[in-house]
Amino acid sequence: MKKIIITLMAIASLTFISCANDDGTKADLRWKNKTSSTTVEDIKWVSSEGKTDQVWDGSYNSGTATNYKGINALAGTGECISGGNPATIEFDTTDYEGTISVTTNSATIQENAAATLSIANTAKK
Amino acid sequence: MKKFFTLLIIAIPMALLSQESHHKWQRFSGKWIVDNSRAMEINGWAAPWDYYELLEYNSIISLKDFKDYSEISVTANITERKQTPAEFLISFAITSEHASWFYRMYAFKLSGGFWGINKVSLIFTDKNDKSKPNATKNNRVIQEIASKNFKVKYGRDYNFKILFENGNVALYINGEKVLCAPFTEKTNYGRIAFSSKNAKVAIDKVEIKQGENTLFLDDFNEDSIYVRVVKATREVNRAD
Repeated sequence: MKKIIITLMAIASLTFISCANDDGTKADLRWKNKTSSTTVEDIKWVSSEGKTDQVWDGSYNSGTATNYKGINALAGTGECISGGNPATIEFDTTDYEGTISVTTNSATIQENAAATLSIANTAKK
Repeated sequence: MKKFFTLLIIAIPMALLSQESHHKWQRFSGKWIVDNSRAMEINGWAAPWDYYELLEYNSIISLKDFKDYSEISVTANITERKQTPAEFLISFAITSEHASWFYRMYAFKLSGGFWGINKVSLIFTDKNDKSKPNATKNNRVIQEIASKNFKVKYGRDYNFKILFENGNVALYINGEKVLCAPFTEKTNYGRIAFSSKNAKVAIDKVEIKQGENTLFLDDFNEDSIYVRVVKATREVNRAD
């Protein structure tokens, strides 16, 4: 009986640990600010249906990166605030990591990937 | 040959300038499209940024500032309610202390529920603690200056007119004076914007007048909404 209880407790612990390691999201994504001097406030990953899927709050100075965060929408677009202006992030179609496809305005992240997207230049009106 | 090149040098920048000049608005958030000679927000739901009030809505803002105008008019249709409260804002005197942090503005706000819009109010909003950086979350104050219960139906075109008269600002809906309140600012200088939350809207025939003179007109016969872009491009080392 004692052995059964110990075995059950072990299984329960393993199950708990395995659940704790998986946040249930489909992939991880982070952003790098590679601009020369532009500070970016908040970055949003927006699903192709137009709903915000993940938000990286805070200010990201040039040369800094966000943490990896889990995303559920694998296909999406990026939005951020720069100088108080909300803006759409345009993707580089030649430089991507952990993605299936990247077009100028949208990207599809590989499932279970740890993907990185970079922000390198701010377009001024 | 020399003349040809001179003309070419003049023509190319002019062509580039003319491509840019049709933009009159900047899309802030939401999905705004210009179709059938109307600007429409087709998302309905809004994803707030938690900075200044305009960013809490799906907004388009004029690219230009205006001053000493006496009238703003627009035809608007709240085409579909998504959630309660459904809200529509006509904002004016929008200014920023730095860059594009548009904390300060006035707005006529229409809000309602399942059956339609049932309240009209005039609001003022600004940065709350001015000593804090602009990029501080939830640092804004909103004051309701005046309000009135008034019904506006979904799915119908209404003419909204804001008039500055005798130190007051008044909102007329389809010619009926709905709300009037003192406007104590020295000037109504600033940008204008249209915003919605929890509702889809369509707007048309935006006109700003100074007496009989038209300062600004957009009937959305072409796509006049600019989408600001931050480019994500490859970092290239000089050694490459």
